[in-house]
Amino acid sequence: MVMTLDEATRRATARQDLCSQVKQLLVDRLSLDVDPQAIGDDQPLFGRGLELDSIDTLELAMAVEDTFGVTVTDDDTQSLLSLNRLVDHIEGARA
Amino acid sequence: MTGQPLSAPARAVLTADEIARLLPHRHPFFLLDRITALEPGASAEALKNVTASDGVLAGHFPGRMLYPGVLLVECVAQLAAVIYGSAAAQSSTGDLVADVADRVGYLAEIRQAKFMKPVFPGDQVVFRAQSGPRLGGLISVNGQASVGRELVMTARLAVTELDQP
Amino acid sequence: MKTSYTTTDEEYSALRHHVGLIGYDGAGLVTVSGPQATAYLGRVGTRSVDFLLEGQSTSSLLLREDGTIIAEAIVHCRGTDYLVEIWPAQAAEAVAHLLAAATAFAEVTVEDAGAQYAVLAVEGPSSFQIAQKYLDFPIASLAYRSCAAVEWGGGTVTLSRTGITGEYGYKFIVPSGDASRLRAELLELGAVECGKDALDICRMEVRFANLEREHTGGPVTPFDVGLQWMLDAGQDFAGLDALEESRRQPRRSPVCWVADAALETAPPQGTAIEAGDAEVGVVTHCVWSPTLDRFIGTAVVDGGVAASGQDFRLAGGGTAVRTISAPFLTATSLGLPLG
Repeated sequence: MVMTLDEATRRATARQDLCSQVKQLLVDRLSLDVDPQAIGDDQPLFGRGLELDSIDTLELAMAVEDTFGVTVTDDDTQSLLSLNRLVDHIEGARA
Repeated sequence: MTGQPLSAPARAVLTADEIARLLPHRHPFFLLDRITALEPGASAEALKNVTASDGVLAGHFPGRMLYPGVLLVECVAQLAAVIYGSAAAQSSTGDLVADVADRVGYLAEIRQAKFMKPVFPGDQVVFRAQSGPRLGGLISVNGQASVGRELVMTARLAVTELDQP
Repeated sequence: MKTSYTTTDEEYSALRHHVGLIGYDGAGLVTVSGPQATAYLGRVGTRSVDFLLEGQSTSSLLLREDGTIIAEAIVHCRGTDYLVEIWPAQAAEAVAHLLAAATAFAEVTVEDAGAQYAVLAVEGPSSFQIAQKYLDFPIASLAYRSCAAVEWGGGTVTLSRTGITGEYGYKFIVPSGDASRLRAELLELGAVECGKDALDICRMEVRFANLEREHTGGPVTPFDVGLQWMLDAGQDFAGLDALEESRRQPRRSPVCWVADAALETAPPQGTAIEAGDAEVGVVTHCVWSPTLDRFIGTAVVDGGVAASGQDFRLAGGGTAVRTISAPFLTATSLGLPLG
């Protein structure tokens, strides 16, 4: 079903709020020299993009578990392909 | 007498000789004296007696011997290797100890290491390590060291998983 | 660059499942040397090369003073000089820009090397098997975004690991005179010639921006195409002031979308995107994804509705499009060990 402008706005506000929290968490826990608001929603986390490494991944997984109570395991590596994918994973696990 | 109650050091779950079957480390880099509690794959506790005859103290520092902080971190890393080595031994042989030293993982990260108090010759250091989340071949390890009731060091490490046989 | 050699489907399949050969005809190539080379590149590009070691490559954006993108450049550090490589469609403006910018630096030599070299690439999950034949060390040691000098056919070839499809990818920067011989050899080794259209699909699927095609008709800033991560914090690059000014203005945000299966033709660039009866954005680029069996694309939408998981509609036909979380799909090479 296509959303009305109201529905689209309401949903986007909640989603953007969660994205902002995750961006802030990334910057804080991984001590990145990046303005969290400058991280794009579809920005890749590895390789191109934030250029995290596998050691950062473990830290990121722990941060997500501490903050959102959501675990990230080896079965969830698809969730680490972009910030949006990670937020999907958190949203999905909390729903 | 100092007036403090005398208590015997905790009983060994693994002796130094048994630790040596789990770890590839040898003198002068074999650091743990005794494992006093062990849950393979999950957590462990170890003792280390710091002694003035340790060659490292001759250089760290002349006239002011104290145990190097980085070696306290290394003790936690070796304790982590005991946690995972004993799990591997148990799953392949059913015993806590087997010759698995050649499969030891590597230290991948030291994060948030804090040294609260210096450690001197004569101190008996108790190390505790606990295995945390694992992802992508890495495991996080929480570690701490204490002398008596005082915490002397805390650190979080990441280590690589053991090579599969 | 040709758009296609055989059919886009065949070429797409080669890139995603085997190995494709890409001839970057008309690629821009510029050498940068001299004591101020590092300072020059840090000013003309958005990323610092201060810590780039010999044998490493990085990508950087070249911006106009107004903060809009001229091109994405790949900078290879070769030890004695830097080699800057630019996508063919943007080569003319980017090379002129690089040459002009050099006049502000007394001790830098910037030369157009486009005529001296040709650029050929192999991309695809098995491309590393071909690249390995040109290296005397294990291919796994040539890390992503690194380069090596390779002796081949009596000359020196710069072989780098970079790409745009998300698959393994290796690029050969070869003296022009040897290019046709290298091309023949790569074809002989099993690479299938691929044109721009198949590349464009792969690129979209892994959400690498195509600056040639993804826009709303005019110049774009890094924020318009989600490339703001290529702006190094603390770097005083050309275009920075204008970008900071433009960030204070409300602007539309880039999103990725997948169309409903009912969509029969690609919506042209600029097609409005609606929520209810309100226009909230426009399509910036669209391709057909053979793997997903759908039209997929990018759009810019109003900040207030920009999010993954939104159900919008294309104006006109009214086909539903849903915004998704990039990338559209995972490259075949991911999870495939090198070597």
